[in-house]
Amino acid sequence: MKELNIMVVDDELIVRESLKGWLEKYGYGVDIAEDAQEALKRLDTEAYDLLFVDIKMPGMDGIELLQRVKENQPDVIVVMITAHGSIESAIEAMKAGASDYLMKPFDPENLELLVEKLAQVKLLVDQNRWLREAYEGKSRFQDLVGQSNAMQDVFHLIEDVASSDTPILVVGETGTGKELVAKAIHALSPRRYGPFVAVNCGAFTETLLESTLFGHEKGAFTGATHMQKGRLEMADGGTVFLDEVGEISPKMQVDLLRVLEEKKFYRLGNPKLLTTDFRLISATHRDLEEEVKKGGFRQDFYYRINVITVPVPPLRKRTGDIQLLAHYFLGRYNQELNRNVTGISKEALDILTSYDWPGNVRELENVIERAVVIGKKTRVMPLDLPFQAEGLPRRPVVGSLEEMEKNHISEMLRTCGWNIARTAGLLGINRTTLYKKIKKYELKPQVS
Amino acid sequence: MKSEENIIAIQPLGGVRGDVVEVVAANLKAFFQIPTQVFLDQPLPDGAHNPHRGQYNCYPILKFLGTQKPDHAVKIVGVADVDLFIPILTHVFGEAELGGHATVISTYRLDKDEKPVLPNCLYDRAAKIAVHEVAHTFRLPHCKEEDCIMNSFPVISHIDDKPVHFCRYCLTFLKDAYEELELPWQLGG
Repeated sequence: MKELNIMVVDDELIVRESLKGWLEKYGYGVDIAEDAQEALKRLDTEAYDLLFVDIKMPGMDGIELLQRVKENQPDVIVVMITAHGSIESAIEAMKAGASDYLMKPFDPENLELLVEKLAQVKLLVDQNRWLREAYEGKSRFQDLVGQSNAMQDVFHLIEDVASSDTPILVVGETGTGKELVAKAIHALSPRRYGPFVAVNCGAFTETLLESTLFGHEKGAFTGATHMQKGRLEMADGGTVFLDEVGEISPKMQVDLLRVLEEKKFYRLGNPKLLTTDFRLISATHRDLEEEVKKGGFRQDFYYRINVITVPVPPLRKRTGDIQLLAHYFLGRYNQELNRNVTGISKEALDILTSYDWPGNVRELENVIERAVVIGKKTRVMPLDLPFQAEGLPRRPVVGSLEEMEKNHISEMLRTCGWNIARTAGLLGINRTTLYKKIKKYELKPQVS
Repeated sequence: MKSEENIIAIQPLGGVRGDVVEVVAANLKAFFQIPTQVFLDQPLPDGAHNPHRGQYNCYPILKFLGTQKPDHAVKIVGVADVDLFIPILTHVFGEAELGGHATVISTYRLDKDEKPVLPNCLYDRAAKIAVHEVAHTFRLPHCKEEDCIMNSFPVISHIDDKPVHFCRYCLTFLKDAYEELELPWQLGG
């Protein structure tokens, strides 16, 4: 039987706890949510295989939750829970994509058979998902990959803003894929047949950035041995992407502000006013609003480049995408490097999904590329991951050593579905020690 | 905890047959190598009976059993002869909280097969269910090994084919639980 990660969504505490308790006796990892909103929040950060959803709940009902889930994560299996007399709602749910429905109270034999059947279905779905997605692109948007609600929101925002010429500021931590967002906006915009010119502002000194953006004539400065068109000129008819725009000096901000307002500029060493027509997309990992308050960034320039903000979530805020991304990169590097690493072991996935990813998607990509290169088996194993040598990196928790230990053990237990042997193995301690820690910290599997 | 103090308490409920209680107690003692002590019969707790379903809810019973457990008892096992349920299921043969202290089993559905069952069958089934449920209280989940007593059995006749036996994985987990509770381990494995 495949291991399943399950969520029970029901407003009745007794049903939630009862079903959770029954499922846990089968070794499944089970979370609970008392309403649809809580369930959606959990779905944002956790990858679930199977949801049990009560049809009648206050606020958003089970049918609407089912529709939302199926819109964003169609592979998640949803079983509706209904009471006597609400069979019509159950039929409606089946039409909306529910895999089955259960009428309370359930016959234990039927429930067990149903869960076993759905586990098999999930196995088949997983086996086909990666191939199918390559064709359907449901979790891919241009070169962006993500099925979490957080990334789906980004995709929708990109679609909304792509058609206009409005300046966009893409904000997010290093490695989240800000340039890919900019490229996606460009690819969907009317300027898609024009050039996409990217400039990493943090990689140049002020004078070099000036000549890079505006270009220069031969002899304009020492070393200017030939005329060079600037990136702004080269981007005519297309899009300019200014990465790390927060690194631009105040003087350069003034120069760029003029270009943005007038669409005109001077090439260095040339008194002729040149015109250019580009759309500006900027990106930063810094809090520019705070920089403006501190006086380190010009307010007028900030407002000019930040007409619309596209926030890109860090990977730790969309852990549900880690498995998807890991398989995506695995497929890519397996092909590029001509290797035969076709899967990722459950233990390795547990490690990947419990890591904090300070370097975000870029770090995950590097980890998978490395695993494909050094892997000796057909599946990525824990030993292929760079975390093993130094121990699993821990989240930057501020607190005592005991608090950190408690949090880490709790998280590892949750990740492993309270499988004591597996958790102890990953923690590198024996089961007795783990039990003692569980007792000491009063950890309980019911905590969700 | 001193080993000589450890017992599994057996709590008869609602006038269940004494012979069944004795069989359950003897099997639990033999299987878990922990002495059992049979208490005086107690009525089923108020609130357990659900007149709408005509059955008894396990949760109030487990809560009641928790209040009856003496400190020196590592577990307490309620034995009843009424139709048990938990709110999501039509019926159960027994119920235990994973890693908890109390469990309840019932003989109600153990001899209601379509075909006649042998006289000893009720004893055999009651003993196996009691072992299975008590093992849940030692944090053992269901097992995929078909010849393990922790394999699930939604249909009662399925339990007849199972020996009272833990597979080596479940035995290891049980040993871990004994170590955790500082119980003497005499089950081998």
